[in-house]
Amino acid sequence: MRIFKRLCPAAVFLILFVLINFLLNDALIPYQYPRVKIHTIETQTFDDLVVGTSHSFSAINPEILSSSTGRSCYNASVGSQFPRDTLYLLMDACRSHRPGRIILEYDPAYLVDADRAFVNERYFVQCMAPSFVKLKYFTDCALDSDFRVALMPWIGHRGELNGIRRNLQIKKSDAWKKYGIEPFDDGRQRMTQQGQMRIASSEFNPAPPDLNQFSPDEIQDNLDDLNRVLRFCNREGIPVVIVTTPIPAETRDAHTDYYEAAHKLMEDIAASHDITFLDYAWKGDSRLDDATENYSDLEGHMHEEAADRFSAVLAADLNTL
Amino acid sequence: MLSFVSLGFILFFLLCFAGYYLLPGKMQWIWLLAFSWLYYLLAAGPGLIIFLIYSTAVTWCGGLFAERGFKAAVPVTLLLDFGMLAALKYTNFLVLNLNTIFGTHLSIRTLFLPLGISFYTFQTAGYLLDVTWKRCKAERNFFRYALFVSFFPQIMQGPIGRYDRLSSSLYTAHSFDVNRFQRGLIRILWGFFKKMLIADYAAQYVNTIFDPASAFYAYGIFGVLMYSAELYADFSGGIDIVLGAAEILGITLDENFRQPFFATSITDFWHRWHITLGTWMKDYLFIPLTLSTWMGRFGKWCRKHLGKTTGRAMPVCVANIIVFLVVGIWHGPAWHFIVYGLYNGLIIAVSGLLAKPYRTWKKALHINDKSNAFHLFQIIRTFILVNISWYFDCSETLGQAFRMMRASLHAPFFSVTFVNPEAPGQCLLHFATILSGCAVVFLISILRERNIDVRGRILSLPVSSRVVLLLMFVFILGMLGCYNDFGGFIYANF
Repeated sequence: MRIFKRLCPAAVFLILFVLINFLLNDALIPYQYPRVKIHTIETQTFDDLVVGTSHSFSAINPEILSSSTGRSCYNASVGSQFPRDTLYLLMDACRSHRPGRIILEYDPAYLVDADRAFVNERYFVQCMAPSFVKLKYFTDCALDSDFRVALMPWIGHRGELNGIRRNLQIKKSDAWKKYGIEPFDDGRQRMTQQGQMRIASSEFNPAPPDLNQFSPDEIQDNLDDLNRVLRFCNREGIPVVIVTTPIPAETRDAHTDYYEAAHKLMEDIAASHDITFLDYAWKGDSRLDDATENYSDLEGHMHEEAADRFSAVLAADLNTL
Repeated sequence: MLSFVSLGFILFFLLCFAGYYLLPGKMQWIWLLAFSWLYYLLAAGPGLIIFLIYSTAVTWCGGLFAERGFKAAVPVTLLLDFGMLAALKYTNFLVLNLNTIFGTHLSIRTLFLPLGISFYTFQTAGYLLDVTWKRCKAERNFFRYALFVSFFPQIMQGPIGRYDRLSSSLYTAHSFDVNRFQRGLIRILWGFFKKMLIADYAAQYVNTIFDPASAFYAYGIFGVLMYSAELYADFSGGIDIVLGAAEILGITLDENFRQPFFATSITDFWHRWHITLGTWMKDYLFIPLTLSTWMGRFGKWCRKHLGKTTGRAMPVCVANIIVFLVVGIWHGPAWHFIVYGLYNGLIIAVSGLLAKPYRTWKKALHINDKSNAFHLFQIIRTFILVNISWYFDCSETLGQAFRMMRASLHAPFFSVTFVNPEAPGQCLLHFATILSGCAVVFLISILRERNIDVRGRILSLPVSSRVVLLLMFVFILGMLGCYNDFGGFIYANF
């Protein structure tokens, strides 16, 4: 009885903490792309799986790739996907099936930028089905992170009080239960069933890209994670093609050294793993129009029409491999 | 890795705590030692633990030899112990200055600074001197001594422990005590509050203003005020977490802060700020200096040539300047840190020399130095002097410090949103959080200055109130606390 009396307040605290946390998660965390994408790769099989950042998320149309290559394809890219996120995404996918090929989009900013800040991991960890991969992902990423971010995932959206109503509405809807993509259509961009983000041609953000000094020596962690991805694919017998998506000519001209250094780095890594590297950013491609009008910003997020043209070129190049 | 605010540290500590109280009393210190070394391995890496073990071994042996009367034991051990610190921390500084002054072309090496080296080196040196001066007996068991050196909550940023005080709780058996657990937990949460709601937000302003390439260096006055908030909240917050964690394990560590911004003089400030460094300097440097033969001769010379009053004060002044020169050097291998230390030392020295004239002037001006108004004047004066010293502590070079001081005199009007003009609402919220956090800290400081046991008052509340308070606190840390720019603790790099 004495022990019960002592433990009771702690138990009450824990129950209330979990309950309030659950409510805040429900209210503040919006419906996110990773939820749909992770469910898709866990439950379906694909010959080609595209992984990478927001660049490939918008630039690569799996339907066009499929129709040209004759291989089923899914775009599992999401914004802020660092190499470590890619690793665990692939490990999770391989629990249920082994993709025939990985198309790995390489955005140099994600090697240079060391600040991972447990961004995507929160969502990926929440969305993954319980498994050893999920546990490993959590321990690999969360242990170094602020304990609040790990234990209170809503913290990343605490400033989005205006979105509470919409979040709760969506989570009561069929789209949530059936992993639907309708909520992602905001009139300016929408996600397709195959995982591509299609950005309307009217969208443009003129802010210059925030490109840090390219210094691979300082981001060894990210480089190590990228090598872990490539070694994992090699162990699983999954061929990899590394791709850097096109960028506006204006951006390339303003940051020539940056993209040259990024190209050399990836060229070396690809060669060391005996992997094909298709770089459409460094020197552009004569088959593509790299005018700024084809992009929604100077970073390189493509409009839907430009993405379709690029996907056709990419598919043609993949067919030659 | 294993920063105090990381999930990894929380889990690590929970594991340590669970095993600690499940084990029999005799095994508890062994468990702590294992976890302390494991903590250092995980936090610093396997290569750097060698330096910790080296310092432990050298000073343990030195203590045994010193107790047996070997005269060479103390100088040799101190040379080996401080020599390692000097070699790793100050070699490049020495090389750069030799190259500048003498035109040599010595090369700089990439040297790794083991985590906590500035703290454990001083702690082990203190132990050696305590044994030599018979303040405590030498520890015969190497592993018990190793625990004293490497006790994991304190190894990164202090407090600098004393063997005679720490050993009384470090090795004794402890049984779980709910009250002690709650007190420790409250202290840890208080540390998180200061770190997350004040220090990390204030750091955004400090880093922006004190960046050498910054366009905002004229905002120096605002910058040093923010640095006051950041440094105090960061350092004392970290110490609260350390002391709270130790308290949960039944171990009492020395306090390191005592409401420093209520100090009435720079001397008083250093009795309240980083207390264990101050007392270390007093016990192992200042007192031996003032009692030394050469200081005695110097004092005689001063009394003969400068008069009785000044002559008596001079040895203390010189000792203070030397002590604070060492304090400055301890802070880092750079001239701005040395000037920071000398600035403090000179103020204390001059205050000592002018003690008698001050009394005369106060009497002549009919100033009641016991009045509240004078007390407030002293606090504000000290606060201003301390903030001036931050120009030297926070700048990257001496030149930058002076440049910022000059520019501060002509600071333009500005809004606090300059750190992120694209998100003014967020900036205002962060600034409001800093101010609110500081207000709460100020209130708690007043209560503590009046010796009110705040934690005791909280624990006297009904259980339901305590649960609600704890929930509110935890969710405030989540709702308002900074997490995007979390960058570790400042003094964890020493």
